[in-house]
Amino acid sequence: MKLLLHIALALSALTVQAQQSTLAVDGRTSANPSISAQGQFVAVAWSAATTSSMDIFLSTSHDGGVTFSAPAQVNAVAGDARVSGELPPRVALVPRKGAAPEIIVVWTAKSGTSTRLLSARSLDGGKTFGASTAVPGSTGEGSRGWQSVAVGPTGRVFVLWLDHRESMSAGAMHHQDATMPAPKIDPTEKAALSQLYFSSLDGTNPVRITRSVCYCCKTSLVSDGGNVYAAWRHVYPGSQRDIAFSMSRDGGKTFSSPVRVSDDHWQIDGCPENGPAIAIDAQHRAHVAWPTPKDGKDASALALFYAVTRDGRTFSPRAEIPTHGPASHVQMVLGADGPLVAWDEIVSGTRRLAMTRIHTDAAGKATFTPVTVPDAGAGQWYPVLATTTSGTVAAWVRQGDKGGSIGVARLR
Amino acid sequence: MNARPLFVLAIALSACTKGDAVRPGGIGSPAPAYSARNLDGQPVALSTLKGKVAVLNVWATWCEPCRDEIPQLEALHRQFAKENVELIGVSVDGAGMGGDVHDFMRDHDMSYTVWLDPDKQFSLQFLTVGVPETFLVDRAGVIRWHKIGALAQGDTTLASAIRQALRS
Repeated sequence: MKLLLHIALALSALTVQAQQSTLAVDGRTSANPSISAQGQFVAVAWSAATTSSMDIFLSTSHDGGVTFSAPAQVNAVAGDARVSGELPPRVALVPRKGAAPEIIVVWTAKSGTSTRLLSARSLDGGKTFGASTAVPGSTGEGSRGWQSVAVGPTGRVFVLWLDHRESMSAGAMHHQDATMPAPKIDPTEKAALSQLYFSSLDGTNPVRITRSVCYCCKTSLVSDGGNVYAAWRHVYPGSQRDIAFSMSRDGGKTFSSPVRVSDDHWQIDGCPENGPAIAIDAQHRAHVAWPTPKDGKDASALALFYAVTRDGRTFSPRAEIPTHGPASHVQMVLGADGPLVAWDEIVSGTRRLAMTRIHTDAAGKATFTPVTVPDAGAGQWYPVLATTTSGTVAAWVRQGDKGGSIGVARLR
Repeated sequence: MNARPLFVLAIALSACTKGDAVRPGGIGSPAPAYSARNLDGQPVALSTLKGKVAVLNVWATWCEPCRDEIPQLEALHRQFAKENVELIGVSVDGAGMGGDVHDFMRDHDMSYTVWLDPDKQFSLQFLTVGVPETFLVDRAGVIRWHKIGALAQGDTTLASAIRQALRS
């Protein structure tokens, strides 16, 4: 069976390698991509690091992800970017009549001993970017990050992020002497200092959606008409790190009380670094995918699960998405045939891409159809997805001996 | 010898082994071949620590639970540094962040060795779930203790496991 899998992966790689593009910056290690598309326009943002600094770059495509422009630097202050796999730079596109979309990139940047959220805009199709400006409500003491972005119906750009303004200051109090023990504190109580904030780039007052959010898992945010949907990993009593969901029906002014998507009961006092993904379909159903150990035990391999809600209050029972090994870094978009999910998994000692299409019937029962990945080779991870008018485009990190690069390909 | 500490250790080790039987890098198995870079960018390998008791703690500067357990790790490092115990923090901060890691170590009074692993090869080799996670590797290169998540304040299981590994 294992041999068959290897053969299948190898054949798959042979058939699609020619379709790929590579995004990279000479002499740097490229990683942490995000992607957005509108019509045939595609924008990919990622980080490119030297041995001592990191910057954000962006390339665009006008032909649905077949060819890409030369990378343009996004951040105005060289070397200020501080991003990683679950807190990549995020890119959003705002439609403009008769012109390429406005491009907005939001990333985490160094701010003293912590991080803040910055954004920059391009009005010339990604050739140049304007000044880096702080996301409203994201500055001040304590780290901000693990953000996601979405564009509202009137072109407002929304940002959702994890906010450690309180936990950092509490932590600083007991780090005056590294050998002095910190006061005993229950992990669940401490997690209450970790918060989830929402803001728009044109706003001034951010909304705190909830407390008790897991520290280092990416958030997921989708705007659909006047509704805004958010998912994140929450810290429930007993330090259980399960996925939570909330939605706004008034364009982000208020959010519903968080709902536990599934009673997974994953107890871990650490950072799983594995957040959820959302997609919204034409019936306004919210599809959520997330990794968690199948049995809730922290030492078990991560499996991948899926659930759907019609009303934002109750979810279908979780369904396991078939994987070939420990699964991480899930992403999801709505394609022409329904939700498409991508992730990376560890198979035979290496990281590989995996994708599946989800078909959900009226009762919420899901079936999964594997999709041929654009590169079945070893050392591929952190896939991201976007839908164009000619199909879905994927970008991902290729790990190489001389540093990483970003692969991009249209899916078949 | 008082049997109580051994009994407590046995219970602790038993708790830590839950689920490890199905994991590469599980307790009782040889530590995977693993290499990284030190803060000067030079290659380093776990195999060079054979003959020592090694404590490998995978962490990141942005990880809050990791920050919380650093004082305990630092205290253990100072306690056992002269007993052929090597405590190594494996940072999974991204490429180019070596300077930040260095600054973080200074700000948090970390004196134990830190290796850089921006590609997270550690998680691939040891099949870790996230950060922090800690493994104790004995003198023969066998994993003897494993903790997923942060050490709770007052948790003495790692210290006990180090003592046990030094005795064996």
